[in-house]
Amino acid sequence: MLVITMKKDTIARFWILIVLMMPVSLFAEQFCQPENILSTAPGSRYDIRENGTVEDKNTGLVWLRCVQGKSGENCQTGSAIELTWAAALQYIAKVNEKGVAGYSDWRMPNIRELSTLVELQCVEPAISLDAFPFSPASHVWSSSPYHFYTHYSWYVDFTNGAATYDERIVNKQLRLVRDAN
Amino acid sequence: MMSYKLLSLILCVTCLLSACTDSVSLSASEARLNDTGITWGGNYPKSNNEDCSAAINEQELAKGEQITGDILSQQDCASGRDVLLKNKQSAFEYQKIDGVGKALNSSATQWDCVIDKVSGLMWEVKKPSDEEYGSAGLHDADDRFTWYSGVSSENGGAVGDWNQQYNQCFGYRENTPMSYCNTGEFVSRVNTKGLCGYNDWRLPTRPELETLVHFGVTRPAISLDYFPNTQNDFYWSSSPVVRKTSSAWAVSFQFGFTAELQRTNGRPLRLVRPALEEGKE
Repeated sequence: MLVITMKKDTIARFWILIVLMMPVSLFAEQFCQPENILSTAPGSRYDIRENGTVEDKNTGLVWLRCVQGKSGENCQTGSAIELTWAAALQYIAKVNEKGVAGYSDWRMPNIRELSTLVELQCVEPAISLDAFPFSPASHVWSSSPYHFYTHYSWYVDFTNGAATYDERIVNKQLRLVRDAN
Repeated sequence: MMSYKLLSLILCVTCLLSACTDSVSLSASEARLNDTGITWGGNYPKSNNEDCSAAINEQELAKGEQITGDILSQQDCASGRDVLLKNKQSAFEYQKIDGVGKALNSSATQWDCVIDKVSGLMWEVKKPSDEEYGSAGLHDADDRFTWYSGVSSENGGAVGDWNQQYNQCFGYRENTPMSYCNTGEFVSRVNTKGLCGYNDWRLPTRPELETLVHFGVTRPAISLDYFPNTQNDFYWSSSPVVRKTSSAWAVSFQFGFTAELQRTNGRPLRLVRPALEEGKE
């Protein structure tokens, strides 16, 4: 009814507005369903430290808040590094040569450790943004090779939180962990 | 010589009786998370090892790809509980439980539940599979269920599939909702009857169910010593999928991965309850 009574140019302006708004919606924004899905890894589980790390009080694991390549208080500086599984395994030795946040015992998480970060109440990304600010909805390698198809290794898809596997030659992001002292 | 052998045997037995566990200090995370079960290394770009080693096969690399150096020290098999305890079987710490909730020796041949001492969860154990629904009773490994939950604060915005028409589980009767083969009604039936002395059984969340995955093996990807009759199939979790009200999360115990499945799927399940008050340590 409203559309019918509108003048032609008003309708045209209306469509321009819609088109202008489209790119905004293309930016992946985290979507959560707290009203009817239980949280599996809430922000309250993590102790946030000044040095760019968080400690998960449930698991006793300490994580870097930014994926490798990103830095800054909100992990908005730089761009995320993506490596093959082999290059990722080697890359961590280089990280530890210099050290990060005062430690040089960072590890690539195994698939069980990496999966503990998955927040199934949210998607894009399926991780707590309080603990891991501006975390990309990306694929992150684990240190675990896959048993059945031996050209695969395990990774977590943080778009929806799936723990699954992919070919070792594919480039994926990295999230480092260490054991709490 | 004889006495030396005897001594090492005694030491070994003491280890098995978990005195060793106490003498090695596990880090906080190793005490709270199961290890993966992976005790072998992965080569690049493909194939796995029998032992914890790793090689780069240069002939198989893509054109222009250059990789040299150590790809082992950061791999799964090089760290964790199984390495610290120097025991490949020590990724998991399970305890068999009988029908009235009494702890059993690991050599017991009959048991109804298993406690995971690391996660603090107690699990339902299924009865032998003969590829016939319901023939082994309420806990038949063959039985299949659709995903159903009437708890509106936890079901993702839809109840799922009631499954009134398919006879896929023990006790199904037409036009008798309490007997329907869905996850919600199954939980009610188990709690009405009781299992291992408890009536607070429920469908596990996806992270809870994932704690049982043994990543070192496949078909099935679980310890068969404690969870016999596990199906090469997806097991239901209670976790809904964001924005997909017709799906829920399941874990493949054939391979170990997680997947979003339609709630109308008939799949096996394994119930859980908290075994330890604190849940940890």
